[in-house]
Amino acid sequence: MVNLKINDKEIIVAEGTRLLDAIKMAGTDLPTLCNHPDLEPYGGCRLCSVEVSRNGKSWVTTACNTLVEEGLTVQTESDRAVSTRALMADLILSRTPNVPAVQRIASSLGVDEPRFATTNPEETCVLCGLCIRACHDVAKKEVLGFVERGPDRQVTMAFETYDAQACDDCNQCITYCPTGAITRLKGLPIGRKWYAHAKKWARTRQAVQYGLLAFFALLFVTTSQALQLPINISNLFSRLDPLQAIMANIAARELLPLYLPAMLTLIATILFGRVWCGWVCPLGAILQLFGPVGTRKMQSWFRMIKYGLLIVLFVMALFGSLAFMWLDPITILVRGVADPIGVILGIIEMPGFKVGTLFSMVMLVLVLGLNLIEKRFWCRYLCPLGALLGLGSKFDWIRRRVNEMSCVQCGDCVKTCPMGAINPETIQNDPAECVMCLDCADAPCPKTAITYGRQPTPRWNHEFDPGRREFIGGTATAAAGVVLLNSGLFQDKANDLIRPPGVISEKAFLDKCIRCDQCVQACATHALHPVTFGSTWDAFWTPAINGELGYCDYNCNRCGQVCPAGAIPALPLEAKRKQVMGVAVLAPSLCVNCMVCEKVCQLKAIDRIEIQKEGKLKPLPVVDPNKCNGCGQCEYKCPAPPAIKVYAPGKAPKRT
Amino acid sequence: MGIELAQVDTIIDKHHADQRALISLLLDIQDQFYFLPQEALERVADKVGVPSVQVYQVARFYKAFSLKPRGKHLLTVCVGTACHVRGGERLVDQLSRVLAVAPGETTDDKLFTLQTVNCLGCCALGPVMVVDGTYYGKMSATKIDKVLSKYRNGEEVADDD
Amino acid sequence: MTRLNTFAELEQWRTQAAAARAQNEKCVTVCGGTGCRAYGSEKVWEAFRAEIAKQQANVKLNYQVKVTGCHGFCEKGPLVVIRPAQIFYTRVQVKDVPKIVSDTLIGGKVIERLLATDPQTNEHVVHEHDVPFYKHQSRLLLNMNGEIDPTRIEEYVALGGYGAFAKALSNMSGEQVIAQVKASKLRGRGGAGFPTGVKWETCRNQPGEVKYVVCNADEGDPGAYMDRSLIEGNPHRLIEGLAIGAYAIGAQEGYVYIRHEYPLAVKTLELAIKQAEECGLLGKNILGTKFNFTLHVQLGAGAFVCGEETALMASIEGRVGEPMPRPPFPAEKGLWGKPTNINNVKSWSSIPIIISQGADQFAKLGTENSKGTTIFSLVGKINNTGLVEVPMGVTLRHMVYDIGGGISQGKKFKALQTGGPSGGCIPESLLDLPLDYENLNAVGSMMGSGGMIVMDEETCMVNIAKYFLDFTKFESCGKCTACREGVRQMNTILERITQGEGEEGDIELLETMGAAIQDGALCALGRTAPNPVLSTIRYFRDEYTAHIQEQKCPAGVCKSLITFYIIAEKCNGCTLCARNCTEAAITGELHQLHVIDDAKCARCGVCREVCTHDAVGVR
Repeated sequence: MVNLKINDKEIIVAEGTRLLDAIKMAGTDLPTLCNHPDLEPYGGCRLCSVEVSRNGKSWVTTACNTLVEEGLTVQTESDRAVSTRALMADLILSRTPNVPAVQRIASSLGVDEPRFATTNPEETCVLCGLCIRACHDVAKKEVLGFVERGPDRQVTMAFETYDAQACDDCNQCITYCPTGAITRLKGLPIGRKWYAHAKKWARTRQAVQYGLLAFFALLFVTTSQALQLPINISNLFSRLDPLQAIMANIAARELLPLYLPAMLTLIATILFGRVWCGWVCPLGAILQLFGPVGTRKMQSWFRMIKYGLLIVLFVMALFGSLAFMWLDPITILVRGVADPIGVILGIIEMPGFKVGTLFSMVMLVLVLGLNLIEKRFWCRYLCPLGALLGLGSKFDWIRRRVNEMSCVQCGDCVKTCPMGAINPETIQNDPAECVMCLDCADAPCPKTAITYGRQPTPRWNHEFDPGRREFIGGTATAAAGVVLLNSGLFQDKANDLIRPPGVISEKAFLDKCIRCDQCVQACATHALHPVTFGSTWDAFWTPAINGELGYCDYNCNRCGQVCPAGAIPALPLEAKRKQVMGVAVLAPSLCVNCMVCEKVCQLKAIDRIEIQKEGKLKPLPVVDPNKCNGCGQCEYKCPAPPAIKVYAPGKAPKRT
Repeated sequence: MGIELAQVDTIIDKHHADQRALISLLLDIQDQFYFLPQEALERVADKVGVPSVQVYQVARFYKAFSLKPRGKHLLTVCVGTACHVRGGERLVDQLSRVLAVAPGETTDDKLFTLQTVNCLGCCALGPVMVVDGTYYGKMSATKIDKVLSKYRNGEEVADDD
Repeated sequence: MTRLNTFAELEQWRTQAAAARAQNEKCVTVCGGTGCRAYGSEKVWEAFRAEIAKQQANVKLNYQVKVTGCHGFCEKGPLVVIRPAQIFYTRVQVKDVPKIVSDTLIGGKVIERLLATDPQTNEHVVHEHDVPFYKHQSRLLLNMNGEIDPTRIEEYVALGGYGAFAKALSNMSGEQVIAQVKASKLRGRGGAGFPTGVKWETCRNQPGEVKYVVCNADEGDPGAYMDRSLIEGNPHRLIEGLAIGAYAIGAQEGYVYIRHEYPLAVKTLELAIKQAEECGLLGKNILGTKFNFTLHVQLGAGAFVCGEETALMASIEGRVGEPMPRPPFPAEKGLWGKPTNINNVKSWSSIPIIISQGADQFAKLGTENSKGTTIFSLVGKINNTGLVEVPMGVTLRHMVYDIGGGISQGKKFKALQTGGPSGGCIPESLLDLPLDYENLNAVGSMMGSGGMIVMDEETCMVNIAKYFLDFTKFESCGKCTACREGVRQMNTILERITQGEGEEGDIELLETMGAAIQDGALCALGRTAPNPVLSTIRYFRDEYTAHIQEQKCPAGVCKSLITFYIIAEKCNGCTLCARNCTEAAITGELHQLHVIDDAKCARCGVCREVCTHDAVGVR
C-alpha cells in the first residue's frame, strides 16, 4: 500500500494505482478527454494536470499516467494546476468550439468562451487517440493511425482509403471516440454497416409513412368519387384509430364491431410505442414534412395539454358525449379536406355556405400553422390520440435505446427529432413522446449509440409523465363543460337538423358520431355538410343534409358505408330508401306549378291536384307524408325555392 | 503510375525486411523514386510485416518523405536559425514568389520542388540553398534568378538535344 | 585488416600505426567537413593530389594529402593545414593550389594572402594554434578533428584510440567504469544536463539480460552542428564511448540514431563501424573477452521531436516519433521495453577521455557543477562562424568577442540565443555570465545541444520568437494539447503582433500561456517551446510594446510594419535597385533620384541588399 496526500487529505491506496484514480478516491473528479479505463493512459489532452511535490520539489504532471508514489503530495487546485487545466481546456475548446462534450468540460474548468482563434469551426476531432488505441488494443487491429504532425495531425487509415480487409467494421473506435468525430472523417466510411442498417430502417419508415399517406389520399379520392372498392375500407384510418374506438364505444355504451381494427394499433403500440404516429397517421405524415425540427421552444407543461384533452374526451364519453371528437387527428384531416374540396372544385358556390364549409378547415389550418412554430407541434402538445398512444408507449416492448457507454451527449440526435422528444442534457427520451420515426438513429448519431430494441427501462418516471394534476384538472374541466353546456346556455335553437339516412334517434346518433365527416366526403350529391353554428353545441361539426346544396340520392347509400362508428347505419340500398330523414312541405303561394318535384320524386310521394290560378287551371303538387322520406330531391330541383322544403321529422310547420 | 516492384524488393532485401530499418528502407525507396509511391509502401508493409497504416504514418510523419512526385530539381532552403538571422526567410519568400509555389509544393511545369530544411549544419555559409545536392552559400534574393536560370536553361538544352 | 584477439595485439597494432604516422608526418590536411565541402574543398584536395603528383616528377615531395574532419573554423573554409609546420591557410581555392605547392611545399615559404588575420591586431597569423579563434579554445573532444583521417581506424588507434576501451575491458568492472563516470561529474551534453553516471547506474541496476545503449545524434537544433562534426571527424571515439558504456551497463547492442540530413556523417560512421567490426573491436568476444557488442546505425528522416529520447526510441523501432509520458524512463523501459541508456554524441565521446585520463583529470575542467568542456557552434551575425570548444564556466562575452571576433559588419550586438528552439535569448547585460547548465537555465535559456546564435541590431526579437514557434509548431508531434494547440496559438498571437495587429494584453496572455505550456506539455519539446517567447519578453519587452502600441518594428524586419525608402542624399541614381526590383516598384532615371512606390513594394529587401551606397532605408 502507498500513502500519499491529496489536497491535504491523507489517503492509502494500492500500489500501482493511477494518480487519477487516487484523486477520485479522495473525492475530486478531474475531467479528461483522452483517458479511458479500458485503455492505456496516453497523456494527450493534459486536462488532468495536477501539481505534485516530493522532497521539496514540485512539478505539474498529468494524473492519468502517473502512478502513486509513497510520500507524494498532490494539489489539484493549486494555481499552477488550475491555470494549466484551464489553458488546456481553452485550447481544446478553441479547436473544437462547437463540440458539446468539449464545451461541458471547458465550462467545468471555468472556460465558457474560447479565447483563441478557431481554424475550422466544424472541427470535432480533439486528437485524443482513443479511437486508435481502441483499434489497436481493444479490437486488436491496425487500421487507424495519426498522420502528419503538429497542427496538421489527423486520424486516418493507410493511404486515407478504407480497406475492408484491414477493418472488419467492429466499430470499437466509434465506441471510444469522445466527440463522435470518428464517423465524420473525410473519405472514411467508418460505421458504414451500422449506418446502412439505420438508413434502411429510416427509409422503410418513410416508405411506409408516405405510402400510407398516399393510400389515404387514394381512399379519399375513391370515397369522394363514390368509386366502389372491392372491400369497404374507405374508413380504414378511422377504424384503426383507438381514440375514436374507445370514445365511441364508451359513449355509445355498446360494442361497435367496426372499430375492431383499432385493437391492432393498440397492440402495435404496446409492442413498438407510438408507431401509429410515426408510421401510420396521415396527419402526422403531413406534419413531418415541414416545420422547425429538433427544438424545444415550448415549456414542458405544454406536453400535458394533450393528456388533459384526452381526459376531457374520456370523461365526456363517460357522460355519453362525443362532442369534442373533432379533436381527433383523423377527423381533423378528413373534415379539413372533405367539405372544403367542394368549394375548391367549385361545387359549392353559395357564399353563405362557402364560409361555413371552409370553416371546417379551421382545425387543420391551425394544426398546420402551429407546425411552423415547431415540427409536429400538434403531435407533441395537443393530440389526444397521441396522448392515448403515449400512455401505451410507456409500457412498450421495443423502444429507443441510447448506449450510455458510447453516447457523448453531442446532441446531434436532439436536432433531428421531429418531436423534440430527446432531452438535450441526457439524450434520453420519454417513450410517450417518441414516434419511432428512427430519424435519430440514421445519419445524425456520430457514435452509433442509438438503437431500437428491448429496453428494461421503467414504465414510468420519464420526462413528461402526466400526473394527478392533469387527471384531476381534465376531469374537472370535462365535468364542468358537460354541465355548463347542458345547462341550455349554449342551446341555440331547437334541433331541426336533417340527419343522414338511417339515423333514427338524434341522441343515439350523437353518441356514436365521432365528427369525422367522412360521410360528407362520401355524399355523392353534396347534400351532407358539417353543422357549424346555429345549432346545438353538441351537434357541432356533425353531418346534416342541406337541402339547398343537395339531396339524398335515391341510388346512394355511401354515407352509411363509410361511417366508421355506425352512427349512420350501413344499410342496403333498399332499406336505406325507406329511411325517413324528414318530410317535404309545399308552400303553394310560392309554387310555380311546374311539377318538376313530381317528376323527380322516385318514391312517388308527390301527387298533383288541379287548381285555379290566374284564371287558368294549373297543377299543384301534393306531398304524401307517408310516402315521403325527406330525401330533398324535390326541394333541390325546385326552380322556385323554397316552394317545397324538407323539414326534420316533427319539425314541419303547420300547413297554412 | 506503375513502378518496378522488383526495385522495391531489392531495397527491402538489402535491409533484411527488418522492421527496425523501416525508416532507412523508406529513405532508400525515396532515393530510388524521388518520392514514395503507394505501391512501394504497400509492398513494404506486406514484406516487412508491418501494418500498412504504420508505414503510411511513418511516411507522412517524417519530413524527408514525400508521397507526391517531386519536380525535376529539388530546391532546399535552409531555414535554420543562423540562416534565418541572415535572411533565409526572405530567400524562401522570394523563391515562393518567383516560382509561385509554397514551400513543399512543386511548380506547374514540374521543374522545381521548393522545400525548407531546419538546418544543414553549414551555418557559416548562411543563408544556404541546396539544389539537387549542390550547395549555394551566402545566397541572396538577387542571386535567385541566376541560380534558377542555370537549371531552367539546362532543361532547355536537354530539350533541344 | 586483421582481427585483434588480445589486448596485446591492440597495443602492438598501436605501436605500428603510431610509427607509420610519424613517418608520414609531412602532409597537407584539407578540411572535409560538410561546411568546407560546400565551399568546394573536394576540388581543392583533388587539385592538391594532382598537383603533388605532377610536381613529384621534378622534385621529391613527401607530402601526403589527408582529408580530415571539420576543423571548426567554418567561416574561413576551405581550410588547409600544412603539417608538420602547421601553416594554416584559409579560403583556399583550386587556383591557389599550384602556388601553395610550389611556394610552401617546395619553397617553404608562407603565402600571406591565404593566412588568417587577427581582427584585433590585423596581423597575419601563420600557425593554426595561434589563430585567436583557436587560441582561446580547449579542444578536448575536437582535438583530433583536424589531425586524423576519419576513414582510417589506424589513425585513431595511433593516437591512443580504443585504449580506454581496452583499459575498461581488461582492468575494470562495470561498476568501476560507472564509478569513474560518476566521479567525472559528466553531465548529459544533450542539453538537460542529467548526471551521466547516475543514468548509467540506474540502467545497469535494472533486471533483465537484454539492454541497449543508444547514441542520440539527431542534432535537430537549427544552428548546431558539432555532433555532426564529431562524427564526421572522429567517429571511432564515439564508437569507443558506446562500447565502454555498453560494457558498463551490460548491453550487447547499441544504436546510433543520426539525421539523414547528414549524409557524410552517416557514411563516415558506417565505415568506421565496419572497420571496428573487422578489427574485432565490435562484435563477438571483443579482444578475446566474453564481451559482445554490436552497433547499428539508424537514420532519422526529418523530425526534430525525435531528439526527445522516448520519441527517438519509437523512431528506432520503426514507428512515428511520438514521445511517451515518463515515467517509465528509458532506463527502466526503453527500446522494445528493455532498459536503455541514451546519451548524446558529446557525452559518449567524452567517455574514452574520462576513462583514459581519469575522472579527476576531466573534473579539473569546468565549474563546480558543470565539468569538462562544451562545444558550441557559434553562428549568426558573428565574424568567426564555427565550432568552439571551451571549458564550462567561460563567459559569454569571451565566446562572442575573443573567439567569435565580434559582430559581423561592425553592427551592434543585440542578443545571444542558445538552446535552439528550446532555449532563450540572452541580452547584452548578461554577457558576463559564466557558461554552465544552471546559469543558462536561470536566465531563461538552456545549454541545449550547443547552438549559439548571435543576433545584431537588425534582428527583430518578436520575429525571432515567432520564428522559433513556427519551428516548434511544425516540429511538434501533435500528441499533446499544450504543444500542438498551445504553441500554434502563441504563434498566431505573435503573427498578429508582427503584422501590427497586436492588442493590449497580448504580452500578458503570452506570458500566462507560456507558463502553463511549460507546466502542461508532455515532453521536453513542448515544455521548453515557450522559452524563446518568454525570454524575449523578459529582456526585450519594449520591442513587443513597440509592435503593439506604435505598430513599429524597431529592427526593421516585420514586413507589415516597415516601409522601404530611398535616402535622397545617398542615392546616386545608378538604377541598380530599379533593375532588381521584381515588383517594378522603383522608378527613376539614370543619375536621378529614385523613388519606391510603397503600394507596389513587396518588402522583399532586394533593393537594400543590392544598393552599394546604403541609400535604401527602412522605417
